[in-house]
Amino acid sequence: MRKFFLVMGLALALPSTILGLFFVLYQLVKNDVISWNTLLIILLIVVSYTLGLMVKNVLGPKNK
Amino acid sequence: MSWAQKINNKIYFAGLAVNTGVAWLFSDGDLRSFTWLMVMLLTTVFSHYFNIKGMLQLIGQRIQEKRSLGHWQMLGHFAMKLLLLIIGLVCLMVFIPNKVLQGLILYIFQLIILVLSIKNIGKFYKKGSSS
Repeated sequence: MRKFFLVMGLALALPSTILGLFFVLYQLVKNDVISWNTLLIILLIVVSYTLGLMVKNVLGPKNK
Repeated sequence: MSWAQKINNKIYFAGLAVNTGVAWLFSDGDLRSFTWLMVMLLTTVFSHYFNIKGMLQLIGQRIQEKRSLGHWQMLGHFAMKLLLLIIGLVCLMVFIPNKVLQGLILYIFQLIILVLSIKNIGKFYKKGSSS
């Protein structure tokens, strides 16, 4: 049951994470700190990691 | 079990109306920004619809221990939810990147409205409740 809530929490927080991270990275792009490509790479890494964490918890052994 | 049996539509759509007004305020009268903020809001509403349908099936399966019944339908609901959310977020980030913070505020507000409009939310946390 704990894993169920963990996955639900990750799923609910993912859009907010994407938007929040994009906002911060977009400010860095506007100030010429990082490039658009870097923004995309960082965003993809974070999204992939979160999705991977969700899949790992769904497919992993049960924890009651 | 349907959306209307679990969600108080009056509260949800009143919240959506308030959110639409806030989106208009955030767009500063710019119709293009308002349109994309509304696209994000509407995809969020539909993703909530599919999320609730999927969640109700998931909870029903956990209570009845019937994992095979409607399994693919439930996965379809979650896939639709994810697809709609991705469409909304990508549109927001691509077309109005300077309004992403406002989009984030609108998204979180809509999520709060969803939680507030769930009927008998306490039953979700009670053990052994089948309704």
